[in-house]
Amino acid sequence: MNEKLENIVKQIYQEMKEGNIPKVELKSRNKENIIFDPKTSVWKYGNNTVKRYASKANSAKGILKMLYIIDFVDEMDAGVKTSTLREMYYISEGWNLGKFESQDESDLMVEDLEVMTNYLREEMRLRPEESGASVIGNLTLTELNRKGEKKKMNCRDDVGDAGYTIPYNVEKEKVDLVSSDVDFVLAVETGGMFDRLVENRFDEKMRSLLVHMKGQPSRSTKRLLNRLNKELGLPIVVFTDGDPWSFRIFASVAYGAIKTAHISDILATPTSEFIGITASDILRYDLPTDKLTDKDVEALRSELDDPRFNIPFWKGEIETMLKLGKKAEQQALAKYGLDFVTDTYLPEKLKENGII
Amino acid sequence: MTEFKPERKEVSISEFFDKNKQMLGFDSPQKALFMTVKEAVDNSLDACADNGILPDITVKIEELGKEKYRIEIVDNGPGIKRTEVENSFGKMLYGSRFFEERQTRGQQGLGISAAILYAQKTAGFPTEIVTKTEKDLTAYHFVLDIDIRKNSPHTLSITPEIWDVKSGLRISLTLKGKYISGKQSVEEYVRETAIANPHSSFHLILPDKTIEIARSVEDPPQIPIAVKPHPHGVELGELISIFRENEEETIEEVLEGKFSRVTKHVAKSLVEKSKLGGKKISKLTRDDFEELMKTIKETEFMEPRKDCLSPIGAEGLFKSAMNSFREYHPAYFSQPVIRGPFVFSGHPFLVEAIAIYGGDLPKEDPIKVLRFANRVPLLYQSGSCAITRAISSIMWNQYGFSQPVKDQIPVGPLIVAVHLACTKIPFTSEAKEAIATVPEIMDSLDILLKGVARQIKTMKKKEAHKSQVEEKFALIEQILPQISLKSSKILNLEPPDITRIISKVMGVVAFREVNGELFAENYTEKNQSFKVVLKGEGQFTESVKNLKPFQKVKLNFSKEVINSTEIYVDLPEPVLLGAYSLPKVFSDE
Repeated sequence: MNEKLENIVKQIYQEMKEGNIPKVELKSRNKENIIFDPKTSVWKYGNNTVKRYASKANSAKGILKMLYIIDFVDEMDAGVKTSTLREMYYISEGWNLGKFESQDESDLMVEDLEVMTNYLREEMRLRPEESGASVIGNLTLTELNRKGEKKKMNCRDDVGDAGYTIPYNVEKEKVDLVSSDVDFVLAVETGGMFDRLVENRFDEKMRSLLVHMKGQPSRSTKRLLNRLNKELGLPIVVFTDGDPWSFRIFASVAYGAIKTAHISDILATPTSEFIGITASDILRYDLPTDKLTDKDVEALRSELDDPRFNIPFWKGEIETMLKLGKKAEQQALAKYGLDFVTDTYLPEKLKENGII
Repeated sequence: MTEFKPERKEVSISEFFDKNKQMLGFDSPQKALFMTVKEAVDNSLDACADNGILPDITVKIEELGKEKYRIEIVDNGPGIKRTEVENSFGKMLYGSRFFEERQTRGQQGLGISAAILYAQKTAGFPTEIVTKTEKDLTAYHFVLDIDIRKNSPHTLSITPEIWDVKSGLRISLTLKGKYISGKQSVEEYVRETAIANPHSSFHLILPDKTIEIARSVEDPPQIPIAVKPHPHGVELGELISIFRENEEETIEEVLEGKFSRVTKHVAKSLVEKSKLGGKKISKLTRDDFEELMKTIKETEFMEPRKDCLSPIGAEGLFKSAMNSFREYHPAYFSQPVIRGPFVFSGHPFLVEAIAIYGGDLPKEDPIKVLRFANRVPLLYQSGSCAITRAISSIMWNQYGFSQPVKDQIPVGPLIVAVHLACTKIPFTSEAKEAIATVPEIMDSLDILLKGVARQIKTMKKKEAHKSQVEEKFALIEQILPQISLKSSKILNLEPPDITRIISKVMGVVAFREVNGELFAENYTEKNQSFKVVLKGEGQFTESVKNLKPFQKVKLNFSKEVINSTEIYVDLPEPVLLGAYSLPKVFSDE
């Protein structure tokens, strides 16, 4: 049995044996306990902890639920099976008082276990429904398939137009990065833009690896970006829409997110560069725009207080966007023709950012 | 410029209402169908009430074609005399109830004629009526319609018919209508009618379902007594009509004889003050009547008789609420509250209410308000009704309900049924859909509703306490033992003993009722001695000596005593009282 998970059970058992009210203790996972780690340049949980005692029915039930998950993970381990988070939620129907009220509750508790043990949920054989994000470009890797064989493939030559699909687990034992012949990784927010870059053969022309993030990227997508940067030394360049939500996509790729601050080290890539669309791009390229909604404005304002955006570049861009009252999509670049993004915009911006 | 001179002509009442259908509530096919059923059912209930009959009413709605329905209402009432049928159904404003004060459903004898007229105009069919009185051997089958210009009935045929009942009435109309279910439907109307008339049973045959509603009480309500109108309760027009109908008498005689609370002496002084001494009624002018009216307004009379009202009553309200809302498994039925009789403008009235709380009632929706006027449910125009206004004006947060908008209906799992009984309900319009906000009625409703709300508040407190106790027991009896079992199973070890933990979690002596028996359980770490007192009608005591930690003792009170009392405990340690009564703990008896 997984040692750290077993330790949690042992501690509960021991407390009871000594006649104490059992408890679990973990790092506090609220906003107030997020601190910047200057060594790694990512945002992590601080040292505040919370204790959950079994003296109240609800927290006692929480402890019981945690025991059920641990037992379930152990069972899967024995049978060499995995389960989606949703499957586990439905399986909990049969756990009597350990039954979860909602999938949000069970997902959160799995993250709690990650925080407590430093094991990834993937290592606990629990995975999200889909990652589905894809990669195209001259990258060679091996992936462990169901037969237990390491299958080698090139993400440009051995895949179709949809590219190589990123599996839920991209840890070394599953996916091994063999080699690459590119200068940088371009992580793209939307499918429309990804397809445009593929069709225009941007990966070959600009010696780049294209990663489709599918909106806010999943953990495995961020983990893959992190490994491409660390292991192959590739710079990560993020290309999104020009709106407050896309700014947050960049922040989570570069610095990590509150929910996953316990694993920022392996998920975040602090050297990532943002190449747009920025508020200044809207002005500079005279792009078609939409009005900011009230929610957009609210989001921008709260980003002004977000420590992740507390640098002059972001402050300036956020304030400019608020002043403009406008936002723009990646595909607004099509105003100047289908090739504008690959022939003009990206080369200009990459040059300015010193990527090429 | 030409002067526009409208041509004046006599308009019959039938003609007038034909042109003003909305005044009577016949303004859409959906509402017309609803109103037709309502008018017929109200008439049946009134007829039964007058004769002390327990009503059995069948309502049948058949869909004949697009927006074309046949409605049949059958009752076991007294029937209508053959000679009275035409006038009762064919003539607007015909009724036996003018100039007497009495609590009835229909007040003007307007509604059913309007329905007949509506059917005639929209579908072109006459109305069929079968009536049998107890005295007649056979029933009579009438086919009739209304001559709109003359405001008079027009009988197409009368045939004797065999109907094997003691007495009864069957009316069937074919009309343009629209059948709906849910809110403001016939079903809702009949279900609510059953609540306000717990002595009635209904049999509903609707296009999409059949519903049986059994009666909740077996005694018919008292027959409302008719009383003469109180002088403060008549309008000028009524006053004139009463005198015109009795022209052979003197003014004093009419005042004394046709009004309540007017003695010979008072009648004389009214005439004197109005300077009408010696005048003949036939000679009285409009100004004279106005003068008399003014004097009446300035004169104080004894309050009107109040025994002419027929409340649903505590038993009826409670039983019908139980019957009607059982499917929601409510946590609590309030005691019915009745207030009055009071008086407004010479009309006696009383208000009564019951509240149903919790169970499966929706928690996030506005509370449900059932409004009744003289045992008739009001389903339309709730916003302008005195009952709704009175509920909205209460500060519900003081009673534990959220009221998202001030002066609006609060939100919560609650049904409040409110009934106004009055000899003359002050409706806001002819359609009789909402009660006007008369100050005297508003005041009485306010006190009534607060009385009901207070009961619910107390109940909610008990409930909160109960769930707190239940949670504690769930913790020590289920959750902690399961944690112990699960953790030991994972580790392959013996389950640890959790008694010390239970003691730490509870730290009390707990009293709990299980299957009607009362137990004391010591969850502290010391021996406990204490005295338990149950107080209710009487007082019952039992002493417990040296109850050891984690020991339980059954207390020797009978089930009846436990059910009818509250528990008091004389013990210095903290006490968790069982889930059956409000805790009241004191240490020096």
